[in-house]
Amino acid sequence: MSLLDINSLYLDIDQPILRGVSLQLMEGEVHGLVGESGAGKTMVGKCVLGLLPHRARLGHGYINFAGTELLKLHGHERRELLGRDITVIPQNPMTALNPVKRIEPQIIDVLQLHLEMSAINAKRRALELMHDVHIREPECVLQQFPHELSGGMRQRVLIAIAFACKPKLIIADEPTTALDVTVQRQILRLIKELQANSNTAILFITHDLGVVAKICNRVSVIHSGRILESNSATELFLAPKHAYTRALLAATPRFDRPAAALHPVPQELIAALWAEAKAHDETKTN
Amino acid sequence: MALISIRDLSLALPDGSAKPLFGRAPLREILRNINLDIEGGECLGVVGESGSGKTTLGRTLLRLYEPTSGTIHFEGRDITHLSQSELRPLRAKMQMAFQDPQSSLNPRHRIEDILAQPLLAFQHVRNREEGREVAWQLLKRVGLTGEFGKRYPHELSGGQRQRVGIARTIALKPQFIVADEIVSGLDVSTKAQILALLRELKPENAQALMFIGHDLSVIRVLCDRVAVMRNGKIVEQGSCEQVFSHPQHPYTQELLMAIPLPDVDPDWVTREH
Repeated sequence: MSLLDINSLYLDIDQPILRGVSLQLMEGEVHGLVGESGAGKTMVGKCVLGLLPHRARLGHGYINFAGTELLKLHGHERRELLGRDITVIPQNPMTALNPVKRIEPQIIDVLQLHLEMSAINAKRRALELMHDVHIREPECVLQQFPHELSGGMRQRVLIAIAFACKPKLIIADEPTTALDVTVQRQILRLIKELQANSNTAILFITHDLGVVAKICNRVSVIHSGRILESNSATELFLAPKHAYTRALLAATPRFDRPAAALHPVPQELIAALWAEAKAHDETKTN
Repeated sequence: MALISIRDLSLALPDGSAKPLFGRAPLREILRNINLDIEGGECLGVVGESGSGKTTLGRTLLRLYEPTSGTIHFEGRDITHLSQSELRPLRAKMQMAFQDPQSSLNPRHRIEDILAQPLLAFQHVRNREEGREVAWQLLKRVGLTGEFGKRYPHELSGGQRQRVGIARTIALKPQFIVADEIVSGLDVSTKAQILALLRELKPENAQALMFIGHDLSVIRVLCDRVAVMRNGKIVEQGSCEQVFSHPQHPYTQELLMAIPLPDVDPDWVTREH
């Protein structure tokens, strides 16, 4: 049975955002959700986390997480789950940390809240976590403020927090987009290492097909709030089925190929996809 | 002769983070002994990680900073220590495109006024009406319709704003453009569109372009030559062909290894080079 089962999820925020998204994640699977901005990929993550704006209207779909129906949870039930069984690695490591608190209390908070650790144990565990994410001079970093750390270091701290309670599922929303290529590789390596050790499932949201190819087992391609193709990473990159997947691959610049090999996604294809989505909306209202 | 030629360029700026409570901040070397030539019509890519000084180099070439030592020649003229007023006529010939089009477009002005402003300032047009007409043509050149002129920056998507940024950069028909990470914030398909646009604009304008970025794949698509920077120094430069197929410096090899190509390779993350 799958760990996370998203079934025909519909979401409206003044206009249709998701049009029947279905997605399954097995335990310990890294699942890439790929799409361009506006495709609805971040909103899938937000539905799982229950972080939708007030104007959001959900359709009949359901999200089942290890036997719990996520969309029907009350605030306090969801709060128990989030941060413990389901955690987040956010895109922007600057805004995700509290700028007026040192690093240590930000990690300890999570441990005390969810695992009910004593202050001393939490402190010890925080130090261990810093070691796990390969931060040099961890004692020193724990006493620093977020602004004193580089982008890569902040992302490491957030990864430590995300893995702190040994979660079953992590929603990683573009965790490396803001980073340099060399730092990106280190962070990906770290995520993969921790994920393999703890057998955590990750929903990896990104627009970068290169990153997906290196870290994911399965991939789903999303456009206009619909999953166009979902397959194992090997299959998807070797034999992409959907025209849009092929177009995305052709639009990804590669240093090992001459410049002429790059083709932007054809406008006609994008227009056709949106037309399909609109037609889908109409059959739904009728 | 090269359009731009710099010799032994060094720059030191006050380091705010090391400033003592009283007195002056100590100087920190940002650029060290840089030698570089850029020919007219050439596209040079500059890569390096954040903090390597690539943006500072671009800004120094445009004389937004005054170098500590070394020389900058533009069209054969020494511009290393020109004053602001002496630089002013040159400003139309060298332009910059910014990474973040959101913060580089005035949110209170319509797109057509943003584009007409440099034209008016350098008297390429006589009045606002004429400026707007040229703005419309510019918008068409970058793949937008003239109607976008009536809109405000916040009404545009990231890719559209970046197009407006490019339109403003080419408005004065400069000989030299510094493009600082202009595709870094964009997603795959928008990035490919902007790269296609830049490639399309290249032959018709015949200006030199210095393209700053950290993604070597993007540089391969666009540039003729590439310079790799680390700690304020150029560690390797050469034609794209040569650098990409036979990288000499270990740092260049490391950068190339770090790029995730869209080919499935589960060992990539753990592999040491």
